[in-house]
Amino acid sequence: MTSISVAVRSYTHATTYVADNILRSLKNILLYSGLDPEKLVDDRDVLHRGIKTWIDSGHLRKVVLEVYDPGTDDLVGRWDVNISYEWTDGDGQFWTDTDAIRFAIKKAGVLPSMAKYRVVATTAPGRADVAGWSTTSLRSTEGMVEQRIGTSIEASGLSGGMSYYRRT
Amino acid sequence: MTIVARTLVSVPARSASDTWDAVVAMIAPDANSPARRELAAVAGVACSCISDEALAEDAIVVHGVGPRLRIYALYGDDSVDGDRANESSLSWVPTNGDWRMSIPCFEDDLSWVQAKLAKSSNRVSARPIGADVEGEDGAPAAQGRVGATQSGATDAVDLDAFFRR
Repeated sequence: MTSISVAVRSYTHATTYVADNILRSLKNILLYSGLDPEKLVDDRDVLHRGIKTWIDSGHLRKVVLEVYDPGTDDLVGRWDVNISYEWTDGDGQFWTDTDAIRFAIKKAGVLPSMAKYRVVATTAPGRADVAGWSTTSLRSTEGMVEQRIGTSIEASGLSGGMSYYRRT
Repeated sequence: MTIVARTLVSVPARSASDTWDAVVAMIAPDANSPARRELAAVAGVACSCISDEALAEDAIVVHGVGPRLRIYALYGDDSVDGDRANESSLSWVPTNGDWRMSIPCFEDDLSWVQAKLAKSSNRVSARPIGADVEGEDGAPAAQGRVGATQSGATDAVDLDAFFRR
């Protein structure tokens, strides 16, 4: 007798996968860019709680990693993960493309080691407040151009499309 | 040496944080134990290694008290169907005494992970995936240990690691 096992994926699986792999991708961006991911790791619980909550509710539009000069407060680099809500309960796959990030950083170059960073979430109106998160504004990207990498996190249609900014 | 293996479901059935919480609950069931505080201090780094899917390749090893414990994780569809999971509770408390933990880590992350753990814990360290843990006598960690007998202990077969390959 042949036994067939079918894994039933739910939307919760997809949101868990995407939330976890956004943080994994941000860690890799910092690491490959020559920055210490320690602060990101220390803040992991708060970051994950916010990202997961707002993906679950459909309010999360993008997660932004801002890298800035602590002396001037100017942006020196920025990475965006744009969330796309096209989830279906079919046979989609779960995957994360870490090589695309590595390749893009090779083109973008490493960031100054003295640079600081923070994670900002852009959300739709009506999102719930999450402990540890506060309202802020993004730094200006004037003089920078956005480079799209494409989908780098995929979970049955719920996905994260990656892009980065570089100086023109 | 007696070796016991457990395999937990991880991302996406559980988040990396919830996976780590399951590891902690398994090896330090007393919420007020000193081990809980030690493990809480390394949670972020451990979650990062779990999220990197390092536990699909190699095990967290807990040793020093009772049998050596190897903890693997299932990811992706394997975690969702959970057929290969073994999360049964342990017959001993591996952190009740002079315990140590070794977390597997990809080479790219090893430097910062080891530095961070060194600042946070005297008991928890990281090793490259596939490297031996202290006292494992040179057999590649990811290949498990089949029929190993040391110090007169009972023969131990890490079947989970054996069938994984």
